[in-house]
Amino acid sequence: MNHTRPVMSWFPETRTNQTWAHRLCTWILKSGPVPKHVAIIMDGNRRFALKNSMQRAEGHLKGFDKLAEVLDWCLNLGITEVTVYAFSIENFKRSKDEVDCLMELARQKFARLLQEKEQIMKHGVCIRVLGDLSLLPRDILEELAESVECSKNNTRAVLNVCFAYTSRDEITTGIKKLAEGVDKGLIRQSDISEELLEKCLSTHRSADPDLMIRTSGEVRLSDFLLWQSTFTCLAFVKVLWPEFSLWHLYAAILHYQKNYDAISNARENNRIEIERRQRDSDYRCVMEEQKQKSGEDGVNLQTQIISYSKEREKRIVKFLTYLDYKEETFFNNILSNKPVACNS
Amino acid sequence: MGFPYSTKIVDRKIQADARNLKRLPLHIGLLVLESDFSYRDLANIIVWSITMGVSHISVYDSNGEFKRNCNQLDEALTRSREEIQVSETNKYDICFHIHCPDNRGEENTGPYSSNQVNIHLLSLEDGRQSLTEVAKYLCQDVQDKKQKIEDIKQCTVEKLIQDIYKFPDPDLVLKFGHTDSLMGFMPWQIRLTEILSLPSHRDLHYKTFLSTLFLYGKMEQRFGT
Repeated sequence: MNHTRPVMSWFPETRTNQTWAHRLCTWILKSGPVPKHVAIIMDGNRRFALKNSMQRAEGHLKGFDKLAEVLDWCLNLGITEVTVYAFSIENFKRSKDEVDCLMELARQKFARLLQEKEQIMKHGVCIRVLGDLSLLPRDILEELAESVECSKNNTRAVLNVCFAYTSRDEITTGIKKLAEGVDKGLIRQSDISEELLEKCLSTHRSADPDLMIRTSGEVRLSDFLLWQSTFTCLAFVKVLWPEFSLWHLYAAILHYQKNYDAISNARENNRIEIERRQRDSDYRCVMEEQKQKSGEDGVNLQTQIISYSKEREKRIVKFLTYLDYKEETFFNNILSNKPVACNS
Repeated sequence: MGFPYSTKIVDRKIQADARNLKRLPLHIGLLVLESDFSYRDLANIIVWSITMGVSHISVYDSNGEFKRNCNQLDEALTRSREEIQVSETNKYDICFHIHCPDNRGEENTGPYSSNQVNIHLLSLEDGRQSLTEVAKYLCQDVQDKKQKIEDIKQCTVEKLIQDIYKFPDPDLVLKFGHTDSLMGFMPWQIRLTEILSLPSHRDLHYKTFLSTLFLYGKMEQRFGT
């Protein structure tokens, strides 16, 4: 792969001048709810390349440039978290040439990202990488780990890159984490709930996406954020990713605003249902414990349930702390083989 | 809309139309995200699907109203079948499955017979909650030393889901209503499902249904490779 032009920046300083029409639209959109977290399936790079008689590699490059641009637009609109599907575990099944090309692109992009450390810190972007990282070549893993480490305390915006990711793999891994917790005695089997399983997913630091955009006209989720997007507003856009424009983004946000009430209600109902189930579960556990203690009626039932609930929450905090520690250790192990380049 | 209603929709016509489709879904999910249900129209959609050769149909509403009103749907289905004059050679048994996420030993066990059409009634609890139940079940097995953590793979989870739901992943979901979200519908199973939206199930014309299936037939599946 030869580059006859400089590698495009993650943070293009030369922004396309916002016309008055753009500024008006931004102002109108901001008068309604704006999604805080947007997920994107950036589909259509290869078809774009075909359409424009380019090599696939060039299509992917254009796709990357578009991502940098869209991140900028999102920040301007007040969208502070973006999650992108960069590489699926399924993509590893593509031809060796194409996989190598994508890995090479990832190498260059993440290397470039590290060079732009100043920009990352200036824009306050926190970068996270989600997926089965054990599938990635070591050198890419090291670049990723550095990007993540450098930016982890940034709070202005979050970019989640799903790399070697599928949703089913993520859910299965989450279930395994719960199994480990139970096996180690950190949590009880009865502590398992929808909320707790969610906290074992790789997206546990983020709220569910408010809006999911998929370009190129395909109308499926392709194993991306299946759990997290169950109440997300879906926007299937018939444009190839490298051709995605600010107007398309505006339209997607309008779409989100149209669906806002229905989706908010559904989420709220789900939350209420989760709470109800938790109360029921705590009650049943206390009754179970009562039976085994053969009725010590001294303490009132309500107090028992509250105290049981507090104990359960303590167990969960301990368990989640353990998971965080494991995750940190994973990245530290990668980094310790290489001197940490950034001074945080 | 002005198209001629002079040809009554009969099962022979539906079967002929089905032969013109490039591909037919094995399992269609009907997501009714509207507040007013028309059992008659839903029954029509189901009967058209079955006549075309679809063997699994899911009917979903968040609150579980369909689960509670199975009889109403059954009656509507009987009427719809009469309307399209199902011929003797096209007889089939309709089997309702009212699913429940922690019900592992459901009444109808064993493989489904080939002349059987399966209508699955689903609601919100069959989504994330059912995955949670699978997690609990697996963790109990781990605790009882029946399952090793390192042996838990995607297919392990898949098998437990299949034990309850016993149907293939939906190939196609028809979403009715103006909400552009799946509203809790089976996150695990919709991995590769095509999602097509229609404004309403009420008064849905056969022609619209057919053209939606035609659209589905034309879709290319690239599976990330």
